Amino acid sequence: MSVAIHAKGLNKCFRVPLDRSTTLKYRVTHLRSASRYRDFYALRDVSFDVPEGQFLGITGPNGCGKSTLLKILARILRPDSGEVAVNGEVSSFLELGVGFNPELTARENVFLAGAVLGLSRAQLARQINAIMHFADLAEFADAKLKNYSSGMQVRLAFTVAITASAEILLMDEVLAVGDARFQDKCFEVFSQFKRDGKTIVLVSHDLGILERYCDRLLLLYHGQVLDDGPPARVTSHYRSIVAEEEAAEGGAAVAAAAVLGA
Amino acid sequence: MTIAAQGSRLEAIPRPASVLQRNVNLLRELAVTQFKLKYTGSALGYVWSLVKPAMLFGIMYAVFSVLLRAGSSTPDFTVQLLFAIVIWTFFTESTVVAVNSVVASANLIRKAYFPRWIIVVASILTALMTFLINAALIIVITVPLGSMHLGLRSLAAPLLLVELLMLIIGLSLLLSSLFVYYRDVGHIWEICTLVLFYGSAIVYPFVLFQQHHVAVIAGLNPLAQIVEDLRHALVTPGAPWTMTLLGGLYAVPVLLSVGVFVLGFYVFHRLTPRFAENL
Repeated sequence: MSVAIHAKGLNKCFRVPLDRSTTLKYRVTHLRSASRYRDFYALRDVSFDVPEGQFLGITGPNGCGKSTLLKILARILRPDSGEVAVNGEVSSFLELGVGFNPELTARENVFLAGAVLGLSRAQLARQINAIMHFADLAEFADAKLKNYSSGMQVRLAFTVAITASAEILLMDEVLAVGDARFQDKCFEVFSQFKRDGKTIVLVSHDLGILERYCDRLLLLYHGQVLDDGPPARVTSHYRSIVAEEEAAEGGAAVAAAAVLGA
Repeated sequence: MTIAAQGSRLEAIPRPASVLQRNVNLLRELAVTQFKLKYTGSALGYVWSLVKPAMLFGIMYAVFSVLLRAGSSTPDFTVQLLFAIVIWTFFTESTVVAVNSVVASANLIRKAYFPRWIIVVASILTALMTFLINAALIIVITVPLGSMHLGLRSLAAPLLLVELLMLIIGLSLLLSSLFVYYRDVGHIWEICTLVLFYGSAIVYPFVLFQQHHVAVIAGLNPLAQIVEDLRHALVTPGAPWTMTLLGGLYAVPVLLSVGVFVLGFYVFHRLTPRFAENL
Protein backbone atom coordinates (compact mmCIF):
# COMPACT_ATOMS: atom_id res chain seq x y z
CA MET A 1 0.00 0.00 0.00
CA SER A 2 1.39 3.40 -0.93
CA VAL A 3 2.20 6.17 1.50
CA ALA A 4 -0.21 9.11 1.61
CA ILE A 5 1.71 11.26 4.08
CA HIS A 6 5.42 11.04 4.75
CA ALA A 7 6.99 13.11 7.51
CA LYS A 8 10.62 12.71 8.53
CA GLY A 9 12.62 14.55 11.15
CA LEU A 10 10.29 17.55 11.37
CA ASN A 11 11.48 20.40 13.53
CA LYS A 12 9.70 23.65 14.13
CA CYS A 13 10.79 26.39 16.45
CA PHE A 14 8.85 29.59 17.04
CA ARG A 15 10.74 32.67 18.09
CA VAL A 16 8.52 34.28 20.66
CA PRO A 17 9.48 37.94 20.96
CA LEU A 18 9.90 39.10 24.52
CA ASP A 19 9.41 42.75 23.63
CA ARG A 20 7.51 44.76 21.08
CA SER A 21 9.79 44.91 18.09
CA THR A 22 7.39 45.57 15.25
CA THR A 23 8.27 49.26 14.96
CA LEU A 24 11.30 50.54 13.10
CA LYS A 25 12.08 52.99 15.87
CA TYR A 26 12.42 50.14 18.32
CA ARG A 27 14.63 48.19 15.93
CA VAL A 28 16.88 51.20 15.38
CA THR A 29 17.13 52.26 19.01
CA HIS A 30 17.59 48.70 20.30
CA LEU A 31 20.09 47.39 17.75
CA ARG A 32 22.11 45.61 20.38
CA SER A 33 19.22 43.80 21.97
CA ALA A 34 17.86 42.50 18.68
CA SER A 35 18.08 38.95 20.02
CA ARG A 36 15.50 39.26 22.74
CA TYR A 37 13.60 36.16 21.77
CA ARG A 38 12.63 33.04 23.55
CA ASP A 39 12.79 29.96 21.37
CA PHE A 40 9.81 27.70 21.67
CA TYR A 41 10.30 24.27 20.17
CA ALA A 42 6.87 23.25 18.92
CA LEU A 43 8.11 20.11 17.15
CA ARG A 44 11.29 18.10 17.67
CA ASP A 45 12.30 15.38 15.26
CA VAL A 46 8.79 14.18 14.43
CA SER A 47 8.66 11.30 11.96
CA PHE A 48 5.78 9.13 10.78
CA ASP A 49 4.27 7.69 7.62
CA VAL A 50 0.57 7.39 6.99
CA PRO A 51 -0.40 4.67 4.50
CA GLU A 52 -3.22 5.38 2.09
CA GLY A 53 -6.64 4.83 3.63
CA GLN A 54 -5.56 5.07 7.26
CA PHE A 55 -7.50 7.09 9.85
CA LEU A 56 -4.76 8.63 12.01
CA GLY A 57 -5.54 10.42 15.25
CA ILE A 58 -3.17 12.89 16.91
CA THR A 59 -3.55 13.83 20.54
CA GLY A 60 -1.62 15.34 23.41
CA PRO A 61 -1.90 18.13 25.97
CA ASN A 62 -2.26 21.81 25.02
CA GLY A 63 0.90 23.21 23.47
CA CYS A 64 2.30 19.81 22.51
CA GLY A 65 2.53 20.73 18.83
CA LYS A 66 -0.57 19.03 17.41
CA SER A 67 -1.86 22.04 15.56
CA THR A 68 1.62 23.03 14.38
CA LEU A 69 2.06 19.56 12.92
CA LEU A 70 -1.30 19.72 11.15
CA LYS A 71 -0.49 23.18 9.75
CA ILE A 72 2.80 21.88 8.40
CA LEU A 73 0.97 19.02 6.67
CA ALA A 74 -1.49 21.59 5.28
CA ARG A 75 1.46 23.66 3.94
CA ILE A 76 0.47 26.71 6.01
CA LEU A 77 3.64 26.58 8.09
CA ARG A 78 7.05 25.58 6.80
CA PRO A 79 9.16 23.30 9.01
CA ASP A 80 12.65 24.53 10.00
CA SER A 81 14.07 21.18 8.95
CA GLY A 82 12.88 17.75 7.94
CA GLU A 83 10.86 16.57 5.01
CA VAL A 84 7.14 16.35 4.34
CA ALA A 85 5.45 14.76 1.37
CA VAL A 86 1.69 14.63 0.96
CA ASN A 87 0.61 12.54 -2.01
CA GLY A 88 -2.88 13.34 -3.19
CA GLU A 89 -5.53 16.03 -3.20
CA VAL A 90 -5.78 17.53 0.30
CA SER A 91 -8.71 19.17 2.07
CA SER A 92 -7.79 20.78 5.37
CA PHE A 93 -10.35 21.95 7.89
CA LEU A 94 -8.30 23.68 10.54
CA GLU A 95 -11.33 25.72 11.42
CA LEU A 96 -14.84 25.61 10.08
CA GLY A 97 -15.95 28.62 8.08
CA VAL A 98 -12.57 29.85 6.86
CA GLY A 99 -13.27 32.56 4.32
CA PHE A 100 -16.82 33.22 5.52
CA ASN A 101 -17.96 36.81 5.65
CA PRO A 102 -20.90 37.73 7.90
CA GLU A 103 -22.11 40.50 5.57
CA LEU A 104 -22.73 38.09 2.69
CA THR A 105 -25.63 35.71 2.18
CA ALA A 106 -25.17 32.00 2.82
CA ARG A 107 -25.20 31.35 -0.92
CA GLU A 108 -22.46 33.91 -1.59
CA ASN A 109 -20.43 32.48 1.28
CA VAL A 110 -20.59 29.03 -0.29
CA PHE A 111 -18.97 30.44 -3.44
CA LEU A 112 -16.35 32.33 -1.45
CA ALA A 113 -15.39 29.52 0.95
CA GLY A 114 -15.55 27.08 -1.96
CA ALA A 115 -13.07 29.23 -3.90
CA VAL A 116 -10.70 29.17 -0.91
CA LEU A 117 -10.90 25.36 -1.10
CA GLY A 118 -10.13 25.54 -4.82
CA LEU A 119 -13.62 24.91 -6.23
CA SER A 120 -14.95 26.79 -9.22
CA ARG A 121 -18.08 28.92 -9.15
CA ALA A 122 -19.67 27.04 -12.06
CA GLN A 123 -19.34 23.68 -10.31
CA LEU A 124 -20.62 25.06 -7.01
CA ALA A 125 -23.54 26.73 -8.77
CA ARG A 126 -24.73 23.37 -10.11
CA GLN A 127 -24.64 21.92 -6.58
CA ILE A 128 -25.78 24.91 -4.55
CA ASN A 129 -29.28 23.58 -3.85
CA ALA A 130 -27.95 20.19 -2.79
CA ILE A 131 -25.42 21.91 -0.52
CA MET A 132 -28.06 24.09 1.17
CA HIS A 133 -30.33 21.08 1.50
CA PHE A 134 -27.58 18.88 2.98
CA ALA A 135 -26.88 21.57 5.58
CA ASP A 136 -30.65 21.73 6.38
CA LEU A 137 -30.58 25.39 5.40
CA ALA A 138 -32.51 25.37 2.13
CA GLU A 139 -34.99 28.01 3.34
CA PHE A 140 -32.26 30.36 4.54
CA ALA A 141 -30.00 30.36 1.48
CA ASP A 142 -30.42 34.08 0.89
CA ALA A 143 -30.21 35.21 4.51
CA LYS A 144 -27.04 37.03 5.54
CA LEU A 145 -24.62 34.89 7.48
CA LYS A 146 -24.60 37.35 10.40
CA ASN A 147 -28.23 36.43 11.00
CA TYR A 148 -27.38 32.74 11.26
CA SER A 149 -27.03 31.02 14.62
CA SER A 150 -23.59 29.58 15.29
CA GLY A 151 -24.98 26.09 14.78
CA MET A 152 -26.32 27.01 11.35
CA GLN A 153 -22.95 28.53 10.39
CA VAL A 154 -21.16 25.37 11.45
CA ARG A 155 -23.53 23.20 9.39
CA LEU A 156 -22.95 25.34 6.32
CA ALA A 157 -19.18 25.41 6.81
CA PHE A 158 -18.98 21.65 7.30
CA THR A 159 -21.05 20.96 4.22
CA VAL A 160 -18.89 23.22 2.04
CA ALA A 161 -15.75 21.61 3.44
CA ILE A 162 -16.83 18.05 2.66
CA THR A 163 -18.08 19.01 -0.79
CA ALA A 164 -14.54 19.42 -2.07
CA SER A 165 -13.48 16.03 -3.29
CA ALA A 166 -10.17 15.01 -1.72
CA GLU A 167 -8.07 11.94 -1.07
CA ILE A 168 -6.56 13.24 2.16
CA LEU A 169 -8.43 15.09 4.92
CA LEU A 170 -6.69 17.06 7.66
CA MET A 171 -8.99 18.04 10.52
CA ASP A 172 -8.50 19.97 13.74
CA GLU A 173 -11.14 19.52 16.45
CA VAL A 174 -13.93 19.90 13.92
CA LEU A 175 -16.12 17.61 15.94
CA ALA A 176 -16.10 19.70 19.08
CA VAL A 177 -18.79 21.98 17.68
CA GLY A 178 -22.39 21.39 16.76
CA ASP A 179 -25.24 19.59 18.49
CA ALA A 180 -25.60 15.84 18.87
CA ARG A 181 -27.58 15.41 15.67
CA PHE A 182 -24.98 17.32 13.69
CA GLN A 183 -22.16 15.31 15.26
CA ASP A 184 -23.91 12.11 14.20
CA LYS A 185 -24.08 13.48 10.69
CA CYS A 186 -20.37 14.31 10.77
CA PHE A 187 -19.53 10.78 11.83
CA GLU A 188 -21.77 9.27 9.22
CA VAL A 189 -19.78 11.23 6.65
CA PHE A 190 -16.42 10.29 8.16
CA SER A 191 -17.37 6.62 8.27
CA GLN A 192 -18.24 6.85 4.61
CA PHE A 193 -14.94 8.60 3.83
CA LYS A 194 -13.16 5.79 5.65
CA ARG A 195 -15.05 3.12 3.70
CA ASP A 196 -14.14 4.96 0.49
CA GLY A 197 -10.48 4.57 1.40
CA LYS A 198 -9.67 8.20 2.12
CA THR A 199 -6.74 9.05 4.34
CA ILE A 200 -7.82 11.05 7.37
CA VAL A 201 -5.77 12.85 10.01
CA LEU A 202 -7.79 14.04 12.98
CA VAL A 203 -6.40 16.16 15.81
CA SER A 204 -8.56 15.93 18.91
CA HIS A 205 -8.68 15.93 22.69
CA ASP A 206 -11.66 13.61 22.73
CA LEU A 207 -10.10 10.24 23.55
CA GLY A 208 -13.45 8.45 23.21
CA ILE A 209 -13.90 9.59 19.62
CA LEU A 210 -10.28 8.82 18.78
CA GLU A 211 -10.57 5.29 20.16
CA ARG A 212 -13.78 4.71 18.25
CA TYR A 213 -12.73 5.91 14.81
CA CYS A 214 -8.95 5.88 14.47
CA ASP A 215 -6.84 3.02 13.14
CA ARG A 216 -3.79 4.45 14.79
CA LEU A 217 -3.02 7.16 17.31
CA LEU A 218 -0.03 9.46 17.67
CA LEU A 219 0.68 10.94 21.11
CA LEU A 220 2.65 14.18 21.06
CA TYR A 221 4.34 15.50 24.16
CA HIS A 222 6.44 18.67 24.24
CA GLY A 223 6.77 18.48 20.48
CA GLN A 224 7.96 14.89 20.38
CA VAL A 225 6.23 11.67 19.41
CA LEU A 226 5.88 9.90 22.73
CA ASP A 227 3.78 7.01 21.49
CA ASP A 228 2.52 5.77 18.15
CA GLY A 229 0.29 2.72 17.84
CA PRO A 230 -3.16 1.20 18.34
CA PRO A 231 -5.57 3.77 19.82
CA ALA A 232 -6.50 1.69 22.89
CA ARG A 233 -2.87 1.34 23.99
CA VAL A 234 -1.93 4.97 23.28
CA THR A 235 -4.94 6.44 25.10
CA SER A 236 -4.26 4.37 28.20
CA HIS A 237 -0.61 5.47 28.03
CA TYR A 238 -1.77 9.10 27.79
CA ARG A 239 -4.21 8.68 30.67
CA SER A 240 -1.49 7.21 32.89
CA ILE A 241 0.84 10.14 32.13
CA VAL A 242 -1.89 12.65 32.95
CA ALA A 243 -2.63 10.79 36.19
CA GLU A 244 1.09 10.81 37.13
CA GLU A 245 1.38 14.52 36.44
CA GLU A 246 -1.70 15.31 38.45
CA ALA A 247 -0.34 13.26 41.31
CA ALA A 248 2.99 15.13 41.11
CA GLU A 249 1.23 18.48 40.97
CA GLY A 250 -1.02 17.45 43.81
CA GLY A 251 2.04 16.49 45.83
CA ALA A 252 3.70 19.81 45.04
CA ALA A 253 0.55 21.66 46.01
CA VAL A 254 0.39 19.81 49.32
CA ALA A 255 4.06 20.63 49.94
CA ALA A 256 3.50 24.28 49.05
CA ALA A 257 0.49 24.45 51.33
CA ALA A 258 2.57 22.94 54.12
CA VAL A 259 5.29 25.59 53.61
CA LEU A 260 2.76 28.41 53.52
CA GLY A 261 1.00 27.05 56.56
CA ALA A 262 4.22 26.79 58.57
CA MET B 1 -18.69 10.32 -5.45
CA THR B 2 -21.89 10.76 -3.49
CA ILE B 3 -21.97 11.58 0.20
CA ALA B 4 -25.11 10.50 2.02
CA ALA B 5 -26.04 11.20 5.62
CA GLN B 6 -29.35 11.33 7.46
CA GLY B 7 -31.31 11.06 4.26
CA SER B 8 -29.69 13.90 2.34
CA ARG B 9 -27.21 13.42 -0.45
CA LEU B 10 -24.38 15.48 -1.79
CA GLU B 11 -22.24 15.03 -4.87
CA ALA B 12 -18.54 15.66 -4.16
CA ILE B 13 -17.06 18.31 -6.46
CA PRO B 14 -13.61 17.69 -7.94
CA ARG B 15 -11.20 20.63 -7.98
CA PRO B 16 -10.08 21.92 -11.38
CA ALA B 17 -6.90 20.10 -12.34
CA SER B 18 -5.06 23.27 -13.29
CA VAL B 19 -3.67 25.30 -10.41
CA LEU B 20 -3.89 28.41 -12.56
CA GLN B 21 -7.63 27.93 -12.93
CA ARG B 22 -8.04 27.58 -9.14
CA ASN B 23 -6.00 30.72 -8.56
CA VAL B 24 -7.89 32.76 -11.14
CA ASN B 25 -11.14 31.55 -9.63
CA LEU B 26 -10.13 32.55 -6.10
CA LEU B 27 -8.79 35.88 -7.37
CA ARG B 28 -12.09 36.67 -9.04
CA GLU B 29 -14.20 35.62 -6.03
CA LEU B 30 -12.14 37.72 -3.62
CA ALA B 31 -12.06 40.80 -5.86
CA VAL B 32 -15.78 40.72 -6.67
CA THR B 33 -16.67 40.12 -3.03
CA GLN B 34 -14.56 43.04 -1.84
CA PHE B 35 -16.09 45.27 -4.50
CA LYS B 36 -19.59 44.25 -3.43
CA LEU B 37 -18.83 44.69 0.27
CA LYS B 38 -17.29 48.09 -0.30
CA TYR B 39 -20.43 49.50 -1.84
CA THR B 40 -23.24 47.64 -0.10
CA GLY B 41 -24.64 48.84 3.17
CA SER B 42 -24.33 52.56 2.42
CA ALA B 43 -27.35 54.37 0.98
CA LEU B 44 -25.54 55.76 -2.06
CA GLY B 45 -23.49 52.61 -2.63
CA TYR B 46 -21.32 52.75 -5.70
CA VAL B 47 -22.00 56.48 -6.16
CA TRP B 48 -19.47 57.11 -3.39
CA SER B 49 -16.64 55.92 -5.61
CA LEU B 50 -17.60 58.73 -8.01
CA VAL B 51 -18.23 61.38 -5.38
CA LYS B 52 -14.78 61.08 -3.81
CA PRO B 53 -12.69 61.72 -6.93
CA ALA B 54 -15.27 64.32 -8.04
CA MET B 55 -14.80 66.21 -4.75
CA LEU B 56 -11.02 65.97 -5.02
CA PHE B 57 -11.27 67.24 -8.58
CA GLY B 58 -13.51 70.13 -7.53
CA ILE B 59 -11.19 71.21 -4.73
CA MET B 60 -8.03 70.88 -6.81
CA TYR B 61 -9.71 72.70 -9.70
CA ALA B 62 -10.72 75.58 -7.42
CA VAL B 63 -7.29 75.85 -5.79
CA PHE B 64 -4.89 75.24 -8.65
CA SER B 65 -6.85 76.22 -11.72
CA VAL B 66 -8.95 79.12 -10.45
CA LEU B 67 -6.92 80.56 -7.56
CA LEU B 68 -3.36 79.84 -8.65
CA ARG B 69 -4.10 79.78 -12.40
CA ALA B 70 -1.76 76.82 -12.69
CA GLY B 71 -3.13 75.66 -16.02
CA SER B 72 -4.04 78.98 -17.59
CA SER B 73 -1.40 78.60 -20.27
CA THR B 74 -2.28 74.96 -20.91
CA PRO B 75 -5.22 74.13 -23.17
CA ASP B 76 -7.58 71.41 -21.88
CA PHE B 77 -6.15 71.65 -18.39
CA THR B 78 -9.53 70.91 -16.82
CA VAL B 79 -9.81 67.58 -18.61
CA GLN B 80 -6.17 66.85 -17.90
CA LEU B 81 -6.82 67.44 -14.22
CA LEU B 82 -9.87 65.20 -14.31
CA PHE B 83 -7.88 62.35 -15.89
CA ALA B 84 -4.97 62.78 -13.54
CA ILE B 85 -7.22 62.76 -10.46
CA VAL B 86 -8.90 59.52 -11.53
CA ILE B 87 -5.53 57.85 -12.20
CA TRP B 88 -4.22 59.17 -8.91
CA THR B 89 -7.27 57.90 -7.00
CA PHE B 90 -6.69 54.44 -8.48
CA PHE B 91 -3.01 54.52 -7.58
CA THR B 92 -3.48 55.66 -4.00
CA GLU B 93 -6.59 53.60 -3.18
CA SER B 94 -5.14 50.39 -4.56
CA THR B 95 -1.77 50.75 -2.83
CA VAL B 96 -3.08 51.98 0.52
CA VAL B 97 -5.65 49.15 0.71
CA ALA B 98 -3.19 46.57 -0.62
CA VAL B 99 -0.51 47.44 1.96
CA ASN B 100 -2.93 46.38 4.68
CA SER B 101 -4.43 43.45 2.75
CA VAL B 102 -2.18 40.66 4.02
CA VAL B 103 -2.55 41.68 7.65
CA ALA B 104 -6.31 42.15 7.21
CA SER B 105 -6.58 38.58 5.91
CA ALA B 106 -4.65 37.14 8.84
CA ASN B 107 -7.36 34.63 9.68
CA LEU B 108 -7.48 33.26 6.16
CA ILE B 109 -3.69 32.99 5.97
CA ARG B 110 -3.44 31.19 9.30
CA LYS B 111 -6.12 28.66 8.43
CA ALA B 112 -6.04 27.94 4.71
CA TYR B 113 -3.44 27.26 2.08
CA PHE B 114 -3.42 29.13 -1.23
CA PRO B 115 -0.86 31.37 -2.93
CA ARG B 116 -0.72 34.51 -0.78
CA TRP B 117 -0.18 36.98 -3.62
CA ILE B 118 -3.80 36.37 -4.59
CA ILE B 119 -4.92 38.44 -1.59
CA VAL B 120 -2.85 41.45 -2.65
CA VAL B 121 -3.72 41.26 -6.33
CA ALA B 122 -7.43 40.78 -5.50
CA SER B 123 -7.47 44.04 -3.55
CA ILE B 124 -5.82 45.81 -6.49
CA LEU B 125 -8.39 44.32 -8.87
CA THR B 126 -11.15 45.72 -6.66
CA ALA B 127 -9.68 49.22 -7.07
CA LEU B 128 -9.16 48.55 -10.79
CA MET B 129 -12.88 47.85 -11.24
CA THR B 130 -13.75 51.22 -9.72
CA PHE B 131 -11.07 52.89 -11.86
CA LEU B 132 -12.35 51.34 -15.09
CA ILE B 133 -15.92 52.42 -14.37
CA ASN B 134 -14.78 55.97 -13.54
CA ALA B 135 -12.56 56.14 -16.61
CA ALA B 136 -15.39 54.89 -18.81
CA LEU B 137 -17.67 57.58 -17.39
CA ILE B 138 -15.13 60.32 -18.12
CA ILE B 139 -14.70 59.09 -21.67
CA VAL B 140 -18.46 58.97 -22.20
CA ILE B 141 -18.74 62.56 -20.95
CA THR B 142 -15.67 64.14 -22.54
CA VAL B 143 -15.66 62.58 -26.01
CA PRO B 144 -18.97 64.17 -27.10
CA LEU B 145 -17.78 67.49 -25.64
CA GLY B 146 -14.76 67.32 -27.89
CA SER B 147 -12.33 67.56 -24.97
CA MET B 148 -10.56 64.32 -25.79
CA HIS B 149 -8.24 64.25 -28.74
CA LEU B 150 -7.75 60.69 -29.82
CA GLY B 151 -5.38 59.60 -32.51
CA LEU B 152 -2.70 57.07 -33.29
CA ARG B 153 -0.76 58.19 -30.21
CA SER B 154 -3.73 57.02 -28.08
CA LEU B 155 -2.61 53.46 -28.79
CA ALA B 156 0.09 54.06 -26.18
CA ALA B 157 -2.57 54.33 -23.46
CA PRO B 158 -2.97 50.56 -22.85
CA LEU B 159 0.82 50.19 -22.61
CA LEU B 160 0.96 53.02 -20.09
CA LEU B 161 -1.80 51.36 -18.09
CA VAL B 162 0.22 48.13 -18.05
CA GLU B 163 3.19 50.12 -16.74
CA LEU B 164 0.95 51.67 -14.07
CA LEU B 165 -0.36 48.25 -13.05
CA MET B 166 3.16 46.84 -12.80
CA LEU B 167 4.15 49.74 -10.58
CA ILE B 168 1.07 49.30 -8.39
CA ILE B 169 1.35 45.51 -8.10
CA GLY B 170 5.08 45.70 -7.36
CA LEU B 171 4.69 48.38 -4.70
CA SER B 172 1.72 46.60 -3.13
CA LEU B 173 3.48 43.22 -2.89
CA LEU B 174 6.60 44.85 -1.48
CA LEU B 175 4.81 47.00 1.07
CA SER B 176 2.17 44.48 2.15
CA SER B 177 4.77 41.83 2.95
CA LEU B 178 6.99 44.29 4.82
CA PHE B 179 3.91 45.53 6.70
CA VAL B 180 3.58 42.09 8.31
CA TYR B 181 6.90 42.67 10.09
CA TYR B 182 7.05 46.47 10.36
CA ARG B 183 3.80 48.29 10.97
CA ASP B 184 5.56 51.61 10.32
CA VAL B 185 5.33 50.83 6.62
CA GLY B 186 1.68 51.91 6.57
CA HIS B 187 2.48 55.38 7.90
CA ILE B 188 5.58 55.77 5.77
CA TRP B 189 3.58 54.91 2.66
CA GLU B 190 0.90 57.48 3.51
CA ILE B 191 3.56 60.18 3.65
CA CYS B 192 5.09 58.93 0.40
CA THR B 193 1.72 59.14 -1.37
CA LEU B 194 1.43 62.78 -0.26
CA VAL B 195 4.86 63.53 -1.70
CA LEU B 196 3.94 61.72 -4.92
CA PHE B 197 0.63 63.58 -5.15
CA TYR B 198 2.30 66.98 -5.20
CA GLY B 199 5.45 65.85 -6.96
CA SER B 200 3.91 64.03 -9.91
CA ALA B 201 2.29 66.92 -11.80
CA ILE B 202 -1.20 65.65 -10.99
CA VAL B 203 -2.78 68.94 -9.97
CA TYR B 204 -0.69 71.21 -12.17
CA PRO B 205 0.54 70.85 -15.73
CA PHE B 206 3.93 69.29 -16.24
CA VAL B 207 5.17 72.41 -18.11
CA LEU B 208 5.18 74.17 -14.74
CA PHE B 209 8.61 72.63 -14.30
CA GLN B 210 10.24 75.43 -16.29
CA GLN B 211 13.91 74.67 -15.75
CA HIS B 212 15.05 71.79 -17.91
CA HIS B 213 16.92 69.87 -15.22
CA VAL B 214 14.01 70.13 -12.75
CA ALA B 215 11.66 68.80 -15.41
CA VAL B 216 14.03 65.90 -16.13
CA ILE B 217 14.28 64.99 -12.45
CA ALA B 218 10.49 65.18 -12.06
CA GLY B 219 10.05 63.01 -15.14
CA LEU B 220 12.19 60.22 -13.70
CA ASN B 221 9.36 59.49 -11.28
CA PRO B 222 7.35 56.72 -13.00
CA LEU B 223 4.01 58.06 -11.78
CA ALA B 224 4.71 61.53 -13.24
CA GLN B 225 5.85 59.95 -16.51
CA ILE B 226 2.75 57.73 -16.75
CA VAL B 227 0.30 60.53 -15.94
CA GLU B 228 1.98 62.99 -18.32
CA ASP B 229 2.18 60.49 -21.18
CA LEU B 230 -1.46 59.46 -20.66
CA ARG B 231 -2.43 63.11 -20.92
CA HIS B 232 -0.51 63.40 -24.14
CA ALA B 233 -2.00 60.19 -25.51
CA LEU B 234 -5.61 61.04 -24.74
CA VAL B 235 -6.09 64.76 -24.13
CA THR B 236 -3.42 67.18 -25.32
CA PRO B 237 -1.64 66.30 -28.56
CA GLY B 238 0.37 69.51 -28.31
CA ALA B 239 2.28 68.52 -25.17
CA PRO B 240 5.39 66.45 -25.87
CA TRP B 241 5.91 62.84 -24.76
CA THR B 242 8.14 62.65 -21.71
CA MET B 243 10.45 60.68 -24.01
CA THR B 244 11.16 63.90 -25.91
CA LEU B 245 12.11 65.58 -22.66
CA LEU B 246 14.04 62.71 -21.08
CA GLY B 247 15.78 61.25 -24.12
CA GLY B 248 17.76 58.19 -23.09
CA LEU B 249 16.80 58.76 -19.48
CA TYR B 250 13.28 57.67 -20.48
CA ALA B 251 14.47 54.17 -19.62
CA VAL B 252 14.70 55.18 -15.94
CA PRO B 253 10.97 55.50 -15.06
CA VAL B 254 10.09 52.48 -17.22
CA LEU B 255 12.81 50.33 -15.68
CA LEU B 256 11.82 51.58 -12.23
CA SER B 257 8.26 50.32 -12.80
CA VAL B 258 9.49 46.95 -14.07
CA GLY B 259 12.11 46.81 -11.31
CA VAL B 260 9.57 47.51 -8.57
CA PHE B 261 7.33 44.78 -10.05
CA VAL B 262 10.15 42.22 -9.98
CA LEU B 263 11.40 43.34 -6.56
CA GLY B 264 7.86 43.19 -5.16
CA PHE B 265 7.39 39.59 -6.25
CA TYR B 266 10.86 38.63 -5.03
CA VAL B 267 10.47 40.14 -1.55
CA PHE B 268 6.91 38.83 -1.21
CA HIS B 269 8.04 35.37 -2.24
CA ARG B 270 10.89 35.42 0.29
CA LEU B 271 8.70 36.59 3.17
CA THR B 272 5.59 34.48 2.42
CA PRO B 273 6.63 31.23 4.19
CA ARG B 274 6.64 32.99 7.56
CA PHE B 275 3.45 35.01 7.18
CA ALA B 276 1.29 32.49 9.06
CA GLU B 277 3.42 32.55 12.21
CA ASN B 278 3.99 36.30 12.22
CA LEU B 279 0.39 37.42 11.82
